Amino acid sequence: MSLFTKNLEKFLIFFFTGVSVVLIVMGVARAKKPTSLAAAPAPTPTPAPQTSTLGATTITGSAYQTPWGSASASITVKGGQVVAVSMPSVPNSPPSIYAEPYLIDQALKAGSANIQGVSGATYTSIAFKSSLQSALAQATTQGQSVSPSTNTAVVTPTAKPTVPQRYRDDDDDD
Amino acid sequence: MTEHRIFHSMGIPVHITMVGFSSSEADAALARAEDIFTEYDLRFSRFKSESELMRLNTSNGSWHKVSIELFQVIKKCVALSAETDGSFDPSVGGVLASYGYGLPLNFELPEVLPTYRDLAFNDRELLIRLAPKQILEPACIVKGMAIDMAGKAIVEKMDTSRQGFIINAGGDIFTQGSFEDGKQWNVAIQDPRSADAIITAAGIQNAGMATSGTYQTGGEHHGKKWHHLVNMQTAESAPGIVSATVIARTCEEADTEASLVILLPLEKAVARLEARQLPYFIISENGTVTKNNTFAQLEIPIATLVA
Repeated sequence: MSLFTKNLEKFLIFFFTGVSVVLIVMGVARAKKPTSLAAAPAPTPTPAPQTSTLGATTITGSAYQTPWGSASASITVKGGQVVAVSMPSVPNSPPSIYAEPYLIDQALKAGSANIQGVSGATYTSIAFKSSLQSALAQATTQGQSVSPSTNTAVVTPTAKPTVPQRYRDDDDDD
Repeated sequence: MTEHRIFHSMGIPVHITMVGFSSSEADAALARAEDIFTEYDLRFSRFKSESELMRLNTSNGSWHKVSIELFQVIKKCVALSAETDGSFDPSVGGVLASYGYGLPLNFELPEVLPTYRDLAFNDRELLIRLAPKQILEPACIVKGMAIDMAGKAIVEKMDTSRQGFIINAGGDIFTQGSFEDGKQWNVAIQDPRSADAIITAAGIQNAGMATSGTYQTGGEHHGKKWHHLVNMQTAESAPGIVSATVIARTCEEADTEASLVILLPLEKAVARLEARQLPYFIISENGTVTKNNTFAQLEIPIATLVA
């Protein structure tokens, strides 16, 4: 065998061993991530409409329908500033398709329905936005002065329901 | 083994059910699908200021170099616009932005709306020139494309003789192979009147299925209700049809045709679908259902599916 072939062989062995090690490490790292749907946090089913803590008021917007049940946005107002925007109920967060599903999804999970999917109009974040706007409107009628600059900062097309971090890579819709 | 995986992209949950996949195979398939969605999102999103589409959408009036992918998508949109006499028009982006739906922010519509006829193309250099205030939104094609490509990426690495999967991206579906025990995939159609109910179901295999509906994405603008399917001949949200489901070989075709059903007059929409021999299930505002025999043949009574 020529020196070149020998060196090439050596190189190839080292190269592929290296690649394999990297792949295994990547695989292990991925396997360590929680992938089980059951491990996902269960959503809080009942939103508290008015909770005051330390001078802050939380106002819940009108409920809206998603393919996975109804949801509503809420804002926390303190001193005329929106300090937090949240979703008290999070039906569209992927894990809750199983945790808090609508009728047919419950059947899907239990395996009692022989249905593997539901086709419907795409759920997007626009419904969340209008729920948010209704919360802001309520805040105003309840005598809360919400500064408009904060409103526009909060109500952007990218506003979307709180979902666990690993599902929150993207912020838009079609 | 039946494995479920979900990720979130383009503002929608994407749910993949895989049959005959080991847990690690399912993870690998998920990663491939997610990569495709991320790529499509970065290229075609009207909700991300850094996307290639938004760079084009802010280049109005001057020639702008685009990727072959974006060039082809916009060309496809223009072909669809010509076929539908401008009922469908990718220039719809401006109308939607003026409703506050997507970028650009605080967009004011011009008096005369630019149309697809105002677009200029340089095929050799891959250049596109938009008219002033022209904002493109090719979403009706792009989402189906992303689903098909994600499906293709999974198919390439799987054993089609024993493995199968269904991708459900926010209600639009692509299936490959079979469900458990070689059975077809049963896919239900959501009732437009209630998120808690389904209205019918169809059994499909190696096919795409998409529903376009006016009941999910919409709002009010200057006291007038709107939804996202805007007929660009009138620049108004299309009336008449609330839900249109189409089954086709690809999800792209299903999704595109379903969107066109909402935009076109019912007779025209039906003629278009019949010419393409596609199964369809259409629900009008008054609750009337229009479907063809090919759909009826795939239809499964819900009572037999739900125990």
